[in-house]
This record gives sequence, structure tokens and C-alpha cells, in this order.
Amino acid sequence: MRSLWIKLRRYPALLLLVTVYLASTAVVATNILRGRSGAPGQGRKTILRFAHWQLEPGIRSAIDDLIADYTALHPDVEVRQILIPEQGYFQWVNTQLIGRTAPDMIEVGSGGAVGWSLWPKFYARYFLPLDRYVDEPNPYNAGTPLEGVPWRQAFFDEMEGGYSEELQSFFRVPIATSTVRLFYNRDLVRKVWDGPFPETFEDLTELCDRLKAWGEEQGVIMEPIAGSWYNFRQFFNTYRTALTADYLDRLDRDFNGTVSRIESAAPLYSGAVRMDEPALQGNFALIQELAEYFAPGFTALGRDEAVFLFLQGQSAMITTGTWDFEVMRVQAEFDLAVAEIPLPSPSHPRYGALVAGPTTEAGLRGGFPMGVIKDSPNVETTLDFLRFATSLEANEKLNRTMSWLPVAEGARLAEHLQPFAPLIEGYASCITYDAPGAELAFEQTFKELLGGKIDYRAFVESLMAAYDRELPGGVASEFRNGEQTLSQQIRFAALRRAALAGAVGAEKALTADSQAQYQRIMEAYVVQLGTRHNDIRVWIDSVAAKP
Amino acid sequence: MARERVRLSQLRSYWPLYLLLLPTVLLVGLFMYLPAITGIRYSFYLWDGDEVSTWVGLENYRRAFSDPVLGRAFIIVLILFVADLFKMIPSMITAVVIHRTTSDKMRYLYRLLFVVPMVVPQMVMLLIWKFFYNPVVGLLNAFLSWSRLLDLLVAANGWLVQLGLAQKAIFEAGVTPSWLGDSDLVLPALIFWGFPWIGIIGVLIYLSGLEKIPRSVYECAELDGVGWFGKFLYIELPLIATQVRVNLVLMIIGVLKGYGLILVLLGAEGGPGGAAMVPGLYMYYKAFWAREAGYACAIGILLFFVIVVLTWVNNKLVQVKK
Amino acid sequence: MSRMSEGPGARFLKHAYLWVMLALVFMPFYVMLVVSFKSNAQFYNQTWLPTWPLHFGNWVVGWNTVGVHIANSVFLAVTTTVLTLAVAIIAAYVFGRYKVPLGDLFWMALLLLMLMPGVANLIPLFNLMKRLNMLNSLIGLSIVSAAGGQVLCLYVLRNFIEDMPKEFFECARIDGASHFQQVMHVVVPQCGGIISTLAILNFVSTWNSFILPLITLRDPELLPLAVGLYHLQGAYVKEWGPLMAAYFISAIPLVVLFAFTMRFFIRGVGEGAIKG
Repeated sequence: MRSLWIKLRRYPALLLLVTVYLASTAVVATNILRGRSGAPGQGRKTILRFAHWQLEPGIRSAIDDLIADYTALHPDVEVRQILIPEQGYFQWVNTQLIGRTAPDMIEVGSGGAVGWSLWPKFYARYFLPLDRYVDEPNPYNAGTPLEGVPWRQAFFDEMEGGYSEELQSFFRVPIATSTVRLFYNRDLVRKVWDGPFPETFEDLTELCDRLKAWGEEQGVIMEPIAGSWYNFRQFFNTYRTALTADYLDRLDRDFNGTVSRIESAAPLYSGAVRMDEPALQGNFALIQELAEYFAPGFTALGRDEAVFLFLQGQSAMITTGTWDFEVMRVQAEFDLAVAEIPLPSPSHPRYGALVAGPTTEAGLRGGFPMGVIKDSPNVETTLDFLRFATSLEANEKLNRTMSWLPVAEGARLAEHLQPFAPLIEGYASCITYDAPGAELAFEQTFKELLGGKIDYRAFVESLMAAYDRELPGGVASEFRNGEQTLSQQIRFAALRRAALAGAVGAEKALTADSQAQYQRIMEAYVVQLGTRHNDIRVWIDSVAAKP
Repeated sequence: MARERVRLSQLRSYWPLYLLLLPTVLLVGLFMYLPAITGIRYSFYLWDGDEVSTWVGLENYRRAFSDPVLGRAFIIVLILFVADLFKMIPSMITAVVIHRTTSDKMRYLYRLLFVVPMVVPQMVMLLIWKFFYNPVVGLLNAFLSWSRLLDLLVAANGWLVQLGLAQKAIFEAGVTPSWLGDSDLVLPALIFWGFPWIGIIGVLIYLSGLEKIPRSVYECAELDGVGWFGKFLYIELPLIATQVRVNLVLMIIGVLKGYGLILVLLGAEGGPGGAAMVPGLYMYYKAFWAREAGYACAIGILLFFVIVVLTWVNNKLVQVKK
Repeated sequence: MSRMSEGPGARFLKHAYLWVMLALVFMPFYVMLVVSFKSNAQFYNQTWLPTWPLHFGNWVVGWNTVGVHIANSVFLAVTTTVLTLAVAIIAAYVFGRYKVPLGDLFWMALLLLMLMPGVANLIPLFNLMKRLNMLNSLIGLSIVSAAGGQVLCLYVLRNFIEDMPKEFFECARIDGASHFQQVMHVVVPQCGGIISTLAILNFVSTWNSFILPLITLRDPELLPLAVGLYHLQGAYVKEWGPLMAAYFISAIPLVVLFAFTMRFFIRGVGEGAIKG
């Protein structure tokens, strides 16, 4: 050993390397050991891992607080957050699932178009079905008005946000939810506008004009509304619903109160509803007017760039959801305020007569959904943690700190989030222009319209051409997928029925054995069947009616 | 030294040699050959990366041949490869200029200075360039508007549209170009990255080669009255060219299978509308996003064959020139 | 090399060109340094020049976020390099010195590997690592990277050993050295130069490794530098100051390495150029 030391001393660089290497090894070893059984010196702990992509600091620390509260109750459990940026989240989940190294709790979602079709397959294969647990009361609700209430009913949406339609089972536990509003820079707005924030579209455009003029006067860049394709779509959805809601009577053929994608696409395809009708034309005219106030080229910008510009004061307004609230609150150096997206008033010369009303948020479902891995060594503890997270007090506190909306039934909204409370009264979305198969085409030609490269007539021509080209294939695809889902559902229902009737061998394939579950499935199945038949009928009629 | 022959009969005393070989053979066999063979096997299955696998024979390969995305990916790789060839020029020029510097001290200094940036981890360079390309805070756009180069581009673009040479205006007045968000700008962004394209390793290699040129050659040239450009053309360029040709194989392989650059800059989907999807990335995407691992293996095998063919072609060319 | 016929104009041009190139090459560093001291607001208003007050706090945040990744990378790179070279040297000794039965077959197989681009390997390799329980482990990663580094090291080392005069080995054998001792006392000292070069190349290549760690490691605290930085910049609405500081800090270890090993590298690259 000694001779080694003497030899090393001759090469100072090598000595440095060895020292650094030993230090690094120590760090790595500590991390590995800690990862297996918790920080040393406190006995063996159960380690739970909680993976999600909400990287924003406010969310991370809020969840840390939640974990601290839980650990106070259960000192032998340690919960660690694993934060993966959204860009690589789906791939990370994929590799973890294949490699069987997945953390106990994973936030579900993300993955783009591919993700949509793959997540249900993941549920079936890797995630724990929760049906067995949702009807039991949440022990952490003891002492609150929710005591004794089944876990499922203790959610504001009855845990619909955790229900997988394709598999007819509960696979996710939502722990927070969000709504979309318009954020604005009150300092900037006050410079050009007295009184409350505009409540009508006319006033909004007036405000934007004034902001622009102010910007020119001061010699600074001022794009009144911070734009990215993502933020823009929030505006577009609101105005689209507002202006097309009156079509409900014409389009809702099965009288279920909503217009499905096919019910919306078919009349456009056949010409029963034309794009040059006043409401639709007005819809696009309005949105084009609004697009003037976005920075040119906004369609190619990303969400975070728009938020950055808003925070630096280059824009005075932005539409986004509660998920961005903490980020903005922490980084904004101005007075941040929230308002609803203003609609044209009835007296608006052009759009007044076309406006039906605001969008309803009655269909709001729980978000930030956490799935539990079937193979996790700590399933019971994980469920316990999730029960804690969705109990009345803990959930309220979590969302107050995180600035999201709580999911526990009867939980109070944080003070600063009052404007985000879901609006129940309003209209449901009616016409959606991105029909099955034509989504990409619609987006492309819509961007060209917004960029001023084509006029409305060219836009309509291009869109209708895309419909003619893509719709038959897209609709057929939709039907095929629906077929698969339905057959799976009826299979699950049959299995449960068989179990309830005491059939031998049926038990093994089931995940729950309650009458309530069976009833749920049958109800959903009947509704789905009805919707599907209606869609097929509508489509066939429109194909026949097409000139 | 001629290698000492060990006959089978001598093995009794020479058997420790196999012991010395064992770790290498194990490592290489287990972690390089075995995956390759299983990869070939899996390419004949419909496999999702985990358990589900059904035999489909040549279906994956048939699909690969008629896959427009894959075809386009190869074209993009070709474009990037040609661009890389051009990007070698600044290194060559720099090496020649350093070589021609009179003072030895300055030469050493330059060598030192040019090495230092190479020391930066590649990920940092990629991320810095991603930052440069950011449409809002990125320095490229800041530079373009400050230097009025952007106006030049807008004007040139408009002019091309009028002449009918270009279909649409990519650069527009008042619009900050989104280098990584606009499907028309993504390829130029990928080609431009790394400006001024001085691959430090390239400079050093060319330099060492240049330094082996005997002084007598230069003196002869000067006696013949050859100017500095002529010296470059007849003395230095051929030498560099031979080195380039030798390194060409590595370059081909590197460009064909590389996708880390695009993964970091644009994400696994190959950027807006898949504008920059390359075969390697497509393989990665199919395996780790879309869960079509069997197809991904088939793509990998195809890529392997393409590389082998190109390497063989390149070797033939190199030999002919020699 | 002096040339009397060169005018001052030409000399100026040459130096001017080189300094312009240097400025362009060093520009990213300048940017990193300047931005790392800014807050987001300062950055938005002035991108190029330093602004006061300087936010030294950014560097603390940067170090906190990137420090653990640097430790992981050091561990990974050194372990891999040592493993790779240890295995390669003893094998190269056999290949370079002896013609063993089946030896040439192994060698051909290895050469074939050089052709294989390794692209098709990734997915089956992942599967293999999963079966061997090597996922989410830096040591597992080390072993696999060592396998990947074998080909180049073997090729170069074998050539060197083949070129060595037999006398070195004969002397050692007469003194009663076993094969292993011959490796330690003959090969290693003699080939010190090329071994160092290979070590550096290996180190740098592992330092930059991205794809394999990206897909095999789960825990963020185990991630090596490249993946760690990639995750860092994925944050939404980034604070550019600490991010730039983190980038700068990441560049330092390799600079230190090169400061100590400069001559090996420049010389080694030159020799590599002849061989290549």
C-alpha cells in the first residue's frame, strides 16, 4: 500500500483523479443505498416513488409538503418524487414499464398521438385496477363531513377522472384539477385602461388597441396577447363554443345533450351545414380579429416561450390554466390578475346575435391522475398514500399550495384561485372542425388562415377538400376503435354477470365482484351502444345526402 | 515481432492465455454479439419490447420498404451527410492557415486555443445551440435582427417567390423565425448548427498530417515560382484529401446511425411534422414510443446493411485512388 | 519555417482569420458566462453584455443541480475506462504476441464488430440488461460500455504489441514471469503512451454517453451528466441564469482533464492519424 502511495505522489494529476474518483464513488454509493432503504441511521424504511412531469417548483414543493405530512403520520415510509420533463416522459415511462423498474406511482398521460392509443394498453398490462378499493371509505376522512363515504364518492366528479372507458375500470387516482382562464398584467393594463378588466369582446379589442398604441408611443415591443399555438387554442375553444352552441338542436340527433365528433363532422361533410353560414363565418372572423393582437408567427412558438414573454412584460395577457399559476406567481414582478375570457356582448354589431353564451365546465374531471403499478412491492402503502392525498384536508392543503383545484368533494378553493372555480352554467362544445382523419389538415390550413396567407374562401375550400379526402377513412377508423372498445366492455360485463351468477371459473378473470360495478358497466355499455348507433346512422345519412 | 505460434499440443502449458482472453470474449460476446443476433431474430416478430410477440416473417421488412417516413428519413440523412462534407472545409482551411504561420510559438498557442472548446461535453454544445435557436430569447434571432440580416432574408425570400423559384415566404417581415418549430427551417437549422464548424479533432489531425510534409517540397515549389494558392492546391490539399477519404467511412457510419443531435434538439418525433426524422431516430421512436420493437429491429438491420454496403463502396474507391 | 517572400499583409490576414475563427468558437463560452450571472429579467432586456448586479446565487443553484451528475459521470467514466483497458490489454497481449488455436477466429469476429454500427443493438441490449437485472445501475452501465469500448482498444493495442521487439518478452520469460506478470511489467510500461491516449478517448466518450443511460436509468440521482443536463433544460419556463451556470460547471472537469493530459492527447491524435 505504501509503495502505491509513493508512486502516486509522483503524478499529482493521478492523485487528483484518484481523490475525485473516490469522492464520486462515495456519492454514488450513498445515493444507491439511500434509494434502497432510506437515509441511514433511521432504520429500514419503505420507499415509495412518485413520478410525474410537473417540473414547476411550486408543484414540487407542495408535494414535498404533502409527503412531509404523510411521513409525520407514518415515520417508516419515505416518499420520493421523480421528476421527468414532459419532452421525454412517455419514453421514460415506456422503458421503465418494459424494464420492470417502474416507480410505484406514475402520473398518467402525455405521449402525444401515440400515447392516446397506448395508455389503455398500459393500464391493462401494468397498472393496478382500483375497482376493489373505490367503494371502501377513505380512513383519512375520519372527522370530516366525508367520513364513511366510499372513496369514490368523496371526489367532486365521483372519480370519473380516474375511470378508463376502454377498460371499464378505475385505473387512476386524480389528485388535482384545473380550469382555464385569462391571466393579465394588471400594472400594464392599468396604464391604458381604467376600471375593471374588459368583460366584453369589444372592450377587449379596445384594450388591445390601446396597449399597442401605448407600446408604439413608448418605443417598446408590445404584443397585447402572449401567443403560442397552445395558448391560442384556449381562446379558440371558448369562442367556438360560444358561437356554435346554437347548433345543438340541429346536430344532436340522439338528444343526449352533446354533439359527438361524428355528429359535428357529418353535416359539414354532406353540406347540411355550410361553412359560410353566419355563425361559422363569424367564428373565424372573430378569431382572426383576435389573432391580430398576437405576435406574428405565434403559431410556431411553444407554451413556455409565450409564458416567458408574458412574464417579461412583452405581453399583457395570456390564457392558460391553473397549472401555470404558481410558476407565474413566483416569477412575475408585476401584479398578476385573473379574468374570464370575454365574449362579445349581445349588442356587438357583428357577432352579438351569434353568441349563445359561455362554455360550461360542469363536465370537469379530476386531473393530475396517478396510476399504481401492479408489480410494485408496496401496493398497499402506495394506495394508502394516495388515499391520504385525496382526503379532504390534505387535498385542500395540497392544492392551496400548488395553486390547482382540489378534487375532494366539498373542499374549499384557495383564496387566490376563486376566479378559477368551475362555471357550471353554460353551453357544451358543439361544432368541432377537426373531424376524424382531418385533424392535421385542419390545423395546417387554419394556421395559414391565421397567418394571413389565404382568405376565408380558400380556407373553406381547402378544409372541405380535406374532408372529402380524409373523412371516410377517419370515420371508419373511429368506428373500428369503437367496435373494439364495445366488445371489450360487453366481455367484461358478461364476466361479471357470470361471477355474480356463481359460474365456475369466471372468478379468476375478474377484478371486482360487486353488483355496483356490474351496474356501472351495463349503464356505460348501453350509453355507448346508443351513441355508436347514432353516430353510424348520422354518418350514413350524410353520405347519402352528399351531392 | 512475428507472433509466436502455439500449437494444440502446447496448450497444456499455454492454457492461461485463454484465461486472459476470456473477459474480452465474454463481454463482447454477451453484450455485442448476443444483442445483434437477438435483434435479427426479433425483427421477424411483431414485438412490443416486452412480452407480446407473434411471428410475422418478412412482414416488418416489407413494411419498411414501403414506409414513406423511412424513405424520407434516408433522404434527410443524405442531405445531412452532404452538408457534413461541406462543413469539413473550415477545419481544413484553419489547419492550413495555422500550418502556414511563421512563428512556432504562435502556432503552439493556436493549437492550444483551438483544442479547448473541444473539451466541452457534447451535450452542453447541443443545449447551447438549442438555446441559440430559441425563437424568443435565442441569440441567433437577436443577432439576425440586430444586424438587419433578417431583413435581407425576408427580401431575398420575397424576391424568390416573385421569381417563382420558391413557393412560399418562409421569412416574413416582423416574424421571428422559429428555427426548431417551423418545419421549413428545421433542416437548415440542423445544417447550420455548430457554426463555424471547426471540428477540433479535424484541425488537429489535418495539422499533424501537414506537419509531416518535408520542407524540401515547399522549397522546390518556391523555386518553381508557385504562389501560395498553388502550394495549397498541389501540396496541402491532396494530403488532406487522403486523410478525408480515410476518415470517410467513419463519417458515413456516424451520420447514418446518429440521432442524438436530433433527439435533443427536436424531440423523439423528429420535430414539427417529423421534418427531421432520421433512420436512427425512427428506430428509437418506434421502439421506445410507439412500442413496435420488432419493426424497430428490422429498421436497425436495414440500416446496418446500408452502412455495410456504403463502407464496401467507399473501400473500393479508396483503393482505386491509391 | 521561415519564408522571406511573405509580406506583412499576408501575415495579417492569416492571424486575422484565426482570431475571427477563435472568437466564433469561443462565443458560446462567452455567452454562457455572461448569462449565468443574470436574472431572467436582466437577460430579457440585455442579452449580450454583462449586467449588474451579478447574481452569484445562480452558480450555487447550478452547482446544486449539476454536482451530483458530475459525480455520477466521474464514477462511470473512470470505472468504465479502467475496466475497458484492463480487459483489453490482457487480450491484446494474447492477440499480439501469440497465434493461438481459435485466436484468429476470435480476432476476425472482433473485426467484424468494427463494421457493425451497433444501431440494431439497442433494443435487444435493453432487453438483455433487463433479464440480467442490470437496469437502473451505474455498474451495469459500466460493464456494457466496457464491452463497447473493446474493439477500438484491442485493435490499436494489438498493433502496438505486435510492433514491440520480442526481446522484452523473452527477458521477462527467462526471469520466470507468468503471462500476467509479463503484461504488467512489459506491456504496460512500454505502451504507456498509447494506453494513456486510449484512456483519455475512452473517458471522454463515456463522459458524453447519452442514449444508453437515458433509457436504462430510472433514478434522477444516478443520471450521468449528459442525461442530467438534458432533463434540466426540459423544465418549463426556465431560469436561464442557473441553467447557463450549470452548463459552464459541466464543462470544467474535462478542461481540468485536458490541462493535465494535453501533450498525450495532441501527440496521440497525431499517431492515431498515421494509423488511421
